[in-house]
Amino acid sequence: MGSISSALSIAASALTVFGKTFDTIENNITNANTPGYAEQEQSLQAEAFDPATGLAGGVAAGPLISTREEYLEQGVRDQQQSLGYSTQLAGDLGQVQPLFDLTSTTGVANSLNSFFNTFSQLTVNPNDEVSRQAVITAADTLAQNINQSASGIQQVSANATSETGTVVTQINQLASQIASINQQYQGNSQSTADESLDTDVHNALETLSGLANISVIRSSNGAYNVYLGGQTPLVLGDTVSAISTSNVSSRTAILDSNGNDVTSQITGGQLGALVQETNTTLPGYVNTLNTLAKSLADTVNSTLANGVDENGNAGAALFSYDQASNAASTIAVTGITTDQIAAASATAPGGNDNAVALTGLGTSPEVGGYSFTQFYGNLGAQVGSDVSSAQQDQTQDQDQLTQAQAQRSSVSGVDINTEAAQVLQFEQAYTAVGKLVSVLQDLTTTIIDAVQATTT
Amino acid sequence: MTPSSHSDPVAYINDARASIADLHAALIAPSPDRLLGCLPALTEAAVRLGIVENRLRADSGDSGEIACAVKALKSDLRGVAKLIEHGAGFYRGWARFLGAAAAGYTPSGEAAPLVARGSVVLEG
Repeated sequence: MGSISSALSIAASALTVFGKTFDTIENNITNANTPGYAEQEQSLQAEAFDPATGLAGGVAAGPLISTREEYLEQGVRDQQQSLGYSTQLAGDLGQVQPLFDLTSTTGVANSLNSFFNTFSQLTVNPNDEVSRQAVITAADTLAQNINQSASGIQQVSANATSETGTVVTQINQLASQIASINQQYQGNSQSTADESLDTDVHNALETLSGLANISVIRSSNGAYNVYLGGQTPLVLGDTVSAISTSNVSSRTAILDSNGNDVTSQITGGQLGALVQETNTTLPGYVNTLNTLAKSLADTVNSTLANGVDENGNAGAALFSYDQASNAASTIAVTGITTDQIAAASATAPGGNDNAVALTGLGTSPEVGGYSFTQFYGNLGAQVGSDVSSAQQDQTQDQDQLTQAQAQRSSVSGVDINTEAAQVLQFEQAYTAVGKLVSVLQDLTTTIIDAVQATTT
Repeated sequence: MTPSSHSDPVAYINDARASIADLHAALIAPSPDRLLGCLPALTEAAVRLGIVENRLRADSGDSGEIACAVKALKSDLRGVAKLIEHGAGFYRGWARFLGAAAAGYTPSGEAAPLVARGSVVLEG
C-alpha cells in the first residue's frame, strides 16, 4: 500500500513544483515591461527513484535560472556608450552651428563682405566724410560679429564644462548604487538570485554606460566591478572610487579618486563627448576664429599704416585686440576718427591708392592661403561637417542600440543546442545580405563614376 | 518593395532604396527568416542598378537627378552596412561564447567551434 501514499506524495510535490513554475511565468509576464528585467526559468530536478530502497522518485523545484547573459548585456552597454557620446556631441555642436550661418545677413561672413565693400566705396571718393564714416561703422559691425561668434562658442564651452560636473556627479551616484548592491551580494550569497537586485544593478550599469565608457567584470562572489575606460577602478566590490573634475586653463580634466588625471581614458558616453568638446573641438573653432581676427586686424592696420590720412599723417590703426587674450573676443575698433583713415598713399596725398590696396585685401589670400571670407567659410564648413557627422552617428548609434536590444531579447541563453542552431542561421543570413549589400555598394560607386563621366 | 513597372533609372534607384529600407527594418529587429526574406528584393535591386549603369554609359539622360538619387542610396547602404557589421560581429562573439560553454576551449585557447546538433521530433 506504500505505492498509493507514494503516488499521492509524488503528485503533491509535482503540483507544488508546477505551482512554482506558474508563479515564475506570472512574474515574467508581470515584469515584461520592467526596464532591465531578465526572464527567469524554474528549473526542475528529478528526485531519486529506487523502489527497492523506498525512494519514490518524483520532481522537485530547482533554483530559478536567470536568462540574463553578460555578453548580451555588454553588447547593449557598448551601444549605450556610443549613443551617449554622439547625442551629447550632436546636441552641443548643434548650438554652435547657427553662429556660423554663412547665408545669414547679419553674421561674420556678410559683415566681412560689407567691410571690404566700404573700402571699395572709398576709392570712388576718398575724401568723402560719409564714405569714411561707413568704413568705421562696418569695421565696428564686423568686430562685434566676431566677438559674438567667439562668445557664443565660449558660452557653449562653459555650459559643457558645467554639464561635465553634473555628469561626474551622476556617475558617482550610480557607482554608489552599484556598490550598495554589491555589498548585499557579498553579505548574503542567496541575494545573487534576487531578480530585483539583478534588475537594479543592470539598470544602473546601463545608465552608467550612457555616461562614460566602462567595462564590467563580475567577481566570483557576485559583485560587479566597474572600471572607467577599462583601467580606472570606479566600483570594486562595495567600495566606490569616486571621480572628480577640474578645470585648469580652460582644459577639463577628469581625476580618479587619488587625483590622477585619467582624462585620456574617457572616450565614450556623454562624459567622453564633453571632454572632446571642451578640450579639442570648441578650442579648435576658437583658435581658428582668433587666427582670422588677428590676421584681419594686423593686415588692415599695416596697410593703413603704409598710407597717409587727410592731414598727411601716417595712417592710424583701425582695429585693436588684446595680444594676451583671445583676439576674436577682444577685437574692436580703435578711437580712430574719419580724417585719420589713410585712403591715400604717401606718394599721392589726397588720392585713393591706399583705399584700392585695402579693397584688394578682401579677395587676396591673406590668411593660410585663403582670403578672409574663404577662411571664415572653411571654418563654417568645418562646423557644419562636424555637426552633420555627429547627427549621422547619433542616428546610426540609435539604430545599433535598438538592434542590440533586440538581439538581447531574442536569445534565451538557456538551451545551448537551440541557440547554436539559431546562431548558425543568423551567421548565414548576415553573410548573404552582407554580400549583396557589398555588390550594391560597388554598383552605386560605379554609377556615381558613370554620372561624373557624363557631366564632365 | 513593389518594383517599378517602368524603366526610369531614378525609379530603379528609388526601388533599390525601398529594398534597403526593408533590410534596414529587418536588421533593427533581426531574425534569420526576415533577413533571408530580403534577399530576392536585394538581388532584383542589383540587377536594376546594373541596368542603370549600362544606360548611363550609353546615354547620359538626366544625370543630375540620378546623381542625387544614387547619393541618397549610397548613404542608405552605408547605414545598413554598419548594421550588418555590428549584427554579424555580435553573432560571431555569441557563437564563440556558446561554443566555449558547450565544449570548452581548444588546446590553443580558442573557444571550441559551435556545432548545432540536428534533432528529429516524432509525433502521433
